[in-house]
Amino acid sequence: MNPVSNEDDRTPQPVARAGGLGLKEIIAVVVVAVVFGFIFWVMDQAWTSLSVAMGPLGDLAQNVLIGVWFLAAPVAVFIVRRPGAGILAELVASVVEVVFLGNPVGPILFVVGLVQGIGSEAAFAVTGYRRYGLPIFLASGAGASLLSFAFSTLRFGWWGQSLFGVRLVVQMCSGILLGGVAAWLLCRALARSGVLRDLPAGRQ
Amino acid sequence: MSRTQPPTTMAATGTIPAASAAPVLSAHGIRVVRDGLLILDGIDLEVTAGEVVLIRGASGTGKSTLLNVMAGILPHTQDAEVWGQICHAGEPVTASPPARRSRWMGMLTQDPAAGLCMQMVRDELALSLELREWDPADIGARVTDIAATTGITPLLDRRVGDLSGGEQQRVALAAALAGRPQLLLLDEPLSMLDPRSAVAVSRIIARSASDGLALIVVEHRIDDLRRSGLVVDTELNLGSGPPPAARPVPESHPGRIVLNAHLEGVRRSPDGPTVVPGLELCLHAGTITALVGPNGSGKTTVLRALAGLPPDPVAGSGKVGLVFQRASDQFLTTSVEAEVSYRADRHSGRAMLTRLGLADLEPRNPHTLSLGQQRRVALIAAAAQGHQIIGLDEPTLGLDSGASGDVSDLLVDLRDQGRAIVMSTHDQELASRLADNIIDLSPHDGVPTTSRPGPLRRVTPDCPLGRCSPSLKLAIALVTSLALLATTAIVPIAAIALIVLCLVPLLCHVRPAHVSRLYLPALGFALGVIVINSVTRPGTPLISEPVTVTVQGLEMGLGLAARTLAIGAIAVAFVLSTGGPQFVASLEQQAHIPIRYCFGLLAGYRLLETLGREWDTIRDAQQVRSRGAGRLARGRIVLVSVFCLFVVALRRGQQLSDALELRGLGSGRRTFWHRLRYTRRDLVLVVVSAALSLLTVLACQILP
Repeated sequence: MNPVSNEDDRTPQPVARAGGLGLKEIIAVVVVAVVFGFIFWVMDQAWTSLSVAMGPLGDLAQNVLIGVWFLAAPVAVFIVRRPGAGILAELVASVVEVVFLGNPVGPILFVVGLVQGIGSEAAFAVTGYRRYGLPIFLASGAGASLLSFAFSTLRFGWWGQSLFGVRLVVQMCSGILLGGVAAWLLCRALARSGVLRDLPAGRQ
Repeated sequence: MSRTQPPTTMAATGTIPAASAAPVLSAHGIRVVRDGLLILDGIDLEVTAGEVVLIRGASGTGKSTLLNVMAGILPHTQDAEVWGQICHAGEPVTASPPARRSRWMGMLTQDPAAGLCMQMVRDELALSLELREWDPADIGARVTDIAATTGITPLLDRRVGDLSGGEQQRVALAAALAGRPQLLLLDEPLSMLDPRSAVAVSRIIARSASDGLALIVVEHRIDDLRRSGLVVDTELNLGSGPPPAARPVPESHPGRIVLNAHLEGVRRSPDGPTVVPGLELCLHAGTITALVGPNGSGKTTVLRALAGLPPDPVAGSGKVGLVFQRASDQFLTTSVEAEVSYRADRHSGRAMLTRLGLADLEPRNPHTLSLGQQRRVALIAAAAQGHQIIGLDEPTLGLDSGASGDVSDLLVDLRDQGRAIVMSTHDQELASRLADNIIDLSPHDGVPTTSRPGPLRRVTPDCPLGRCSPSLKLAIALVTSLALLATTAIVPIAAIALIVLCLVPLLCHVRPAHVSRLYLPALGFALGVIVINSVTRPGTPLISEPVTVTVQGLEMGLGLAARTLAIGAIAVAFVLSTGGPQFVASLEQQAHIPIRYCFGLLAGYRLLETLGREWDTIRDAQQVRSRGAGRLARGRIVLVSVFCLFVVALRRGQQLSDALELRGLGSGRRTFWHRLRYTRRDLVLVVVSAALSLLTVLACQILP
């Protein structure tokens, strides 16, 4: 029962996995994706008639609402601070949507998710996963918007329509506002609540 | 908090512990600093085979922290600075993470569902063995065996998500015991259970101890364990003495009647059965009323009705406040000070905080407080809103005796201010000590809480497509969907869409009506695509009034629409034949995705099952708190609810992650009890898909 301990006796801190995602980080990313998936499902249930009516209008309304889908990746990267977190979050969100919740848009959402994840994560990757201020989130939202716009152009054949310019502007605004600002606000609130204490976000 | 006295040395009582072999666990000089606070200083502990050690101490003395250090959670998965040496059978294990320690050690925590991640109970028990790399041939027998020993055989074929808290804790215990650990750590395993379940769990623990399992127990309901036959060999006291006895409760002075209601036919949900057929409720100012009864007897339902929540609100419930079990569900602001001033007189809330010595909590974010502190802040916030009647759902659940005493002192304080307190509780001792009236709901036939249909759907696994490998189906669906993006031919693609769609009811064993309902949005979308493209593309006009429709636009629109329909049909075939857990199992065994990703997905699936109920609870809690708020405020509160959902989900995720590591998920190596193999069916699928794709490609070349 020695009241004074020497430094030699100290349990070494576990070596931080350089660049890898451990179970805890993966589950945190999955949690983010699942909660967003659930929220979207709730919104969908609340507006069932709208979603059928959205069918014909869907082609247009897509560009407005798409920003909401970009929220998962930046939040995941913020919490876990490792490369690949954003892409993983979007891929998991696709699994949740398609396989767990049975969204009839189907497996192509995996590709959509991958593209969105890459676009979102680009801004964080370029700054070495060290900066998490509002500008970076805005850049992340813009990146996700651009890349997913490119894929959607291919997927829905938007090129050649007179609406092309309008779509681009609307999608960029949606992506930056929702995917950037909203994500940043959520991350700040989560950090202040103390729930991120034992995750990489809480250690910095 | 620092301690100047060394802890009381271990006092031996009861039976003689086995002494021959090296101790199962020995710890020397354990010192822990977390968040800059010294929690443990120089603790020594030794456990020999078959010995039962009880750790006692007042709140905050580090009982859970000590267990977490033994388990390896500190410092390997949670941050802390740890000094000292831990040895198992003579070998030092201080640097080994929880997953490696799981070979000889298991742990059970407060929250029964914390470590459960499989769908069926049988699979949950098998998982413990698979993670310890047991031979698949031996797994089945051991599962049946451990189920019989722990008395959960009737639960074996049930879904984990449908079990009650007590049943889940028994399953968790069986899963911990399945791999024959030498040592079991118990961190307040009974604290969230109702009395009946607590007895069942205690019996299993006592029997395991008498079978030779070593235990380290932290449990303030130790008498429940002793009554079930557990004999404690050694006690380690982390505080400076026995916990203080509860203060005597002063007499109450009942005042006028504040509520006289007759509750009749109270339900939990609009389409559910009646839980409470009839109840007379007469509340006087300055009294405490306790609602007691087993799970499902309607205690929470009555409280909700009292607070004015649907479906059967009690009239005149504007003046009733309600504090929910998970106090953090009700927090709407970012500081304790703002919380107690929310829609309340600013001074009364803060005055109450100061009077109770909690003034230094004012600037802190309420989510960072301990459970006991959160309950008290929520209670003060409800009181500050001026409610005459305050309801509480299980105010001492999950709290140790110190925090429990603080909450009951606050309740007495509020009672003496003239309020009427109504609380539902499992804690018989609390009810008899504090309550002026006890309402026993047990005579009513209890209606057990059933799991609400959530967002998750169940897929028929026996349909032809359902028996194909999910990984293979995904690969085919992805390749074909992407290939379809390369073409805008109209007729061949539309033909493929029609063929696949017609095959879906047969291949997935679903009714055509169901398929149509799922496919409807795609049809609507395709229609929109045709219209938009016809109208917004330049070219030779087909129609000029009232809008210009061009030939090229129409052609392109039809091609894109056909593509959407084809991709949609393949999607529907995939979605209707592939379920969550089967998909994840296939990812692990056939697509060779690393185990930690697959278990992450399983954790997500489990979480999704519970989110529906969590969301409803949070929404109800915030609705009660914000009664009378304006439209804009309600909008903001929806966002706060989303935030609370994140907090709850992230906490659950971290608990599950720790629990899974303690079960052995870490090295990445495991065996599989049921191996998934590719079958002839998969070959048929590949061949048919390839043939159809080839035909389509040819048709696109031939037809214009």
